[in-house]
Amino acid sequence: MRPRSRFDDELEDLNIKLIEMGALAQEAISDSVKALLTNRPELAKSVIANDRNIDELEKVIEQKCLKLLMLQQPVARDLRVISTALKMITDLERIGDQAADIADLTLRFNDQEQLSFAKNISPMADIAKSMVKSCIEAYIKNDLDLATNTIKRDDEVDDLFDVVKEELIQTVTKDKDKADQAIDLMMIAKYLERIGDHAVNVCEWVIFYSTGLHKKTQIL
Amino acid sequence: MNNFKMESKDLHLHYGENHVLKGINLGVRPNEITALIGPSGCGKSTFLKTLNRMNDLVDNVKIEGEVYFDDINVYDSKIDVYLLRKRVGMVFQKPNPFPMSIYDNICYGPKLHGVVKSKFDEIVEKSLKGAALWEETKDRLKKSALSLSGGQQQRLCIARALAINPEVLLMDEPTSALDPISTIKIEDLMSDLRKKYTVVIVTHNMQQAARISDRTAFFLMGDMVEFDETEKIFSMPKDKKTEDYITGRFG
Repeated sequence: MRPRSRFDDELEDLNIKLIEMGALAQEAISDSVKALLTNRPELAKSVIANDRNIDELEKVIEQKCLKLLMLQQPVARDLRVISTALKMITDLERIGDQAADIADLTLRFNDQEQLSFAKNISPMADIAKSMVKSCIEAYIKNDLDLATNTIKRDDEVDDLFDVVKEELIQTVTKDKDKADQAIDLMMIAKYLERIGDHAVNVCEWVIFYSTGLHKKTQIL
Repeated sequence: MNNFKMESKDLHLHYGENHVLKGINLGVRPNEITALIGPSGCGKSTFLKTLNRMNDLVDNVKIEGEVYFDDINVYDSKIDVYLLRKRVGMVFQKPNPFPMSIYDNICYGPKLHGVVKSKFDEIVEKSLKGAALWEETKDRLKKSALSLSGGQQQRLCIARALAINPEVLLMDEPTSALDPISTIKIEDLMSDLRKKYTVVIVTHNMQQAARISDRTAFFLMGDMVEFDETEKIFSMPKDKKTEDYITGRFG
């Protein structure tokens, strides 16, 4: 038997659960954006219902990490694996929540016309979705270049957020009756912007795992 | 001039045919705890013993290279080995108190080195305090040292080493025969000792090395694979062999 094979099995199981949680978060944002852009209330409802699974998985992973810290007293790479997992799940859980929040607002839409108030929500949603996909992929493949490039894409989301805000100001200025709908769209834009930030956080933990550096500071 | 308290330069040691240390270059900084880790037979204890020439007693030993204590070459033929060992003291794996009273255990060294008897009371109190054993033994100093628990005996051995006022303290797995509470007491004691002395410790307990030492050297099959700040060794070791060993994937 190779040394520490039980611990290695536990770490592999942790990795699988983390990938599973990443896949669920990615699915949540993907479905939530689809429900928003193509007006599919049923899909929006399923995103809201499925958020429970992400929350559940967060708890399971958290518990597992704490147990491994207690029982195995990991150092070096082992310690980074576990601390990366502990930090990443917080961001993945938030991505799930915000996808559900977007789905919740989508259910309030009366018609597709509302989306035309802010045409740039659609590209913003696509980038946020693709950033989440990339951050999960960067984790799975331990791809530092992909992580670094994904972090850079956050500027695009932030810029689009300002554009959407401007679009919505124009809408409300022209027609005050549209204020309620415009505010819902503003919130959706804010959630998308936050999802971009969480994808950046995940990428930063992917970089930490290999280098011990977090935002260019050596923390382990 | 470097600021090492002790330093080995290209140190080789053979026991007969066995090449046990293969060119070790290691500098021990003053008032630090330097930990030596590695699997059994890697040479870490042998290295420790070269620092105060305890290997001289072994048959068939051949030593090449240099060991410096401040600017004194330890292996210089003119060196008074007893004086060296007074300044570079040692504590062993198993507590080895002499079969005499606690008081006499402490005075044994000073007596050999010609310290006058009137100083003994003071030395005993100071040494036992230094080894965090005074409170437990001050009312029974004339009792046999063998009546102490294992952990107390080991602290007595540390006190005995302190009694001759060394500058460096070598410790060869000082807690491996002790229970967890005694181990923690010795570890706490070591952080205090660091303020006055320079400590080099061999330990099989990696968590212990991580907890107490400032720098850690990893030995493997007679080579020193890596030597760095303890935090670096246990977070981002440079050599894969070090990483495999500290994460328990060696072998």
